[in-house]
Order: sequence, then structure tokens, then C-alpha cells
Amino acid sequence: MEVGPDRQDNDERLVARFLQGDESAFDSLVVRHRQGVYRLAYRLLGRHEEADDVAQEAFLRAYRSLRGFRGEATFRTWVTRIVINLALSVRRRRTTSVPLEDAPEPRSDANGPDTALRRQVRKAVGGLPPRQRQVLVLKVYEGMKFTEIAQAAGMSIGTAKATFFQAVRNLRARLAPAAGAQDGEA
Amino acid sequence: MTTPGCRKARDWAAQMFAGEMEPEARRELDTHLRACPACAAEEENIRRELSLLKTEDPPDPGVPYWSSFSGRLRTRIAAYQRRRRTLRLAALAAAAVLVAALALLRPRHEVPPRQIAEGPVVERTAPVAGEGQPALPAPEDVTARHPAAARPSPARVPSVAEAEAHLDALLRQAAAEGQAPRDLEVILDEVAPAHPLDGADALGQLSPDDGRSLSEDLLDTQG
Repeated sequence: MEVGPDRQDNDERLVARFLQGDESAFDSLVVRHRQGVYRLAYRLLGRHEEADDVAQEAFLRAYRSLRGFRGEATFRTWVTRIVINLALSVRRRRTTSVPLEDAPEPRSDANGPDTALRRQVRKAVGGLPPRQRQVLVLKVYEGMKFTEIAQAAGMSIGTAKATFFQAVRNLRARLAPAAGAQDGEA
Repeated sequence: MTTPGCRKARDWAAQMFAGEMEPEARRELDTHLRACPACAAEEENIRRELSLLKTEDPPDPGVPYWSSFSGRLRTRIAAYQRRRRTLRLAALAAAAVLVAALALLRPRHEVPPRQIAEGPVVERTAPVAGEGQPALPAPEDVTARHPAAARPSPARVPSVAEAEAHLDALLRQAAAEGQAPRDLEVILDEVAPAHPLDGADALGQLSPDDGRSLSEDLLDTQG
């Protein structure tokens, strides 16, 4: 969900228009953010059906609550928080867990040179505790700053940083053998 | 060999990958990496792994998926709005029943002074002796002595406790359907202003007749 300053400004205007009763402004917000919302949900859950349901539900909740949106965070951060909460809820409800590495191959994976390593990386990310995975995804995939992650994940900036550092350490520990093997192959 | 410098470098590395590293720490890290091949190799590995992550996109669900996305969302929003309207009406109906129940209690115990002075009011539903003749009250008709009791009562008026229980049941049902407590508060807050009888204190200003007719109308709406 890369959103530049202009786009953010547009989001604010669209939210303002919606609050004045312009329903089409909400449709524009959806079109603007739907891919980012879906991708984030997919990265947190690893299943299309669940990612789709979370993306739809996130926008519905945004629609329901937008009148209470105070603009303390950007619309993107606000929606990200909704997606995270929903994804956590979906994970808690799961009776069976599908590891991320069993999810369909991402597009860039198809015939790339690092296929085995990618799979290892994805497996390592999938094996992280949910909170660490969340923060890592927000930082690495979404390119969010720690202040934004703190707002989106409902934690302090210090906790966001500590969680990210812990995630990276965990990732390094899990990937060390794979990276060594890759180096050995090269 | 892992040195204190190596451990520090690993902490810094996380900051570096986060892209939020202080320039001073960055200089120290670079110095350490130049002097420590093991840490430098590890840094390179994790950098490559994270960059692999960054370039990965989930499978694209395709054009048909995206073209139907907004339409499906609109369907969900419409269903939500229907539920919300129903809940609003149900809450309003419960409130109105409560108002009607409270309002009906008063006239049963109070006879307006004007009617006491004028004597009993002839009951319209009393037997009519004939065309052009005045209607007489039935011998045992209490409505002749107490006109308020003669008001038509189309439905049994629930007690306050019943009305409260009704409202409570509606709230529980709404909660079971996934309405968050905050949503319910919002909806209940909107109940009075959303109705034509809104005002500074709509509940307090309703006359007994208004309360009863409002209650009937809403219960009819609820089906």
C-alpha cells in the first residue's frame, strides 16, 4: 500500500467528501486501496479466500466507522489497523493452520533464480509468531515507518521497534542454514 | 569469534533493515562490517533474503476478481444498512412501548378536573336506545365513571419490566449478530433524533396518545 503525499492528500479529501454525504467518495477510496488491502491480508493469512473476506470486511468496517474517523492517522494506516485486527481474528478462529509456504506461489517466484531460497524465506516468515510477522510485513512489504506501524498495530513505537528487531533476529536464526546451503550451491 | 561488537552490529542491522538508523550508528556498523567478515557475510545474507521478500507479490486474483470487488462490497454495505435500519426500528419500538406503558399508567389514576366538574361523560360505545335519543350509560359500565379507562386499547400494553426485557433481548440478538457494543450505542443514540417525534426530550414530551400510536405504528412496521 504505497501511498505518496499527494495520494494521502486525496484520501483526506475523499474522506471529507464522504463525511459530507458523497457516497461515491467511498467507492473511490475502495478503488484506491483495495489492492493494497488485499495484498496485506494475503501476506498475513496466505489464503485467497480469507484474504478476500478480510479485505471486504475491512472496507465494510471502514464504511461503518468512517464517521468516527478523526484523522489522527492517515486513512491508509487506519485501514491497515482494521486489516490486522481482522486477520488476527481469522487466525484465531482457524481450526487448521495452513503454513504460508503451502500457499500458492507468488508471481515473482515462478521461474526466478532464487526459488529455493524464496521458499525458505517464506517458510521462515510464516513460522514467525503472529505479532512479529505482522510487524515484519508492515515494515518490509508495506514500507511503513515505526510510527505508522505503532498506530496500525496498536502498540507503542518502542514495542514496534523491539518486535521488528526480534522478528529479524528470528528470521536470521531460521534462515542461517538455508543461506549457508545457498552459498554452498553458488 | 563473536565479539561485543558483533552483537551490537546485529542489533544495528535490524535498524538498518528498517531504514531508520541514526547516521552515527550507521558509521559504527560500517566500520565493524569492514573489520569482521563473518558479520559482513551475515549482513549480506539477510539483506538478500529481505530483498527477496520485498519483491514478492501475492498471486494476482485476476481482472474478474477486481472488477467484481466493489459490487460485492456494495452488496455487503446494503445488507449492513438493512440490518441497521431494522435494529434502529426495533430499538425505537422497544423505547416507544416503554413510553406508552409509562404514559398509560397516569390517566388510570387521574381524572381531569374539567370532567369531574361536568359529571360523567357519555360513553360512545354504550348501547344506543334509538335514533335521536340520547345514549345512556350501561348500568355497570365503569367507563362512564372513568373516561380514561374507555380509550380503545388495540393491544395489551406491556409492563415496564417486559419492555425492558424486550429491549435487552434485542440488544443481545444484535450483539449475537456481530454488532459491536459501540455500534449499538451509536444506533441507540440515533433513535430519538431519527424519528419525526424527535426533539429536546422526545420521550418526556410524548402525550399518552402519541406514545400509544407511535408504539402501534412501529410494531406494525416490525410486522
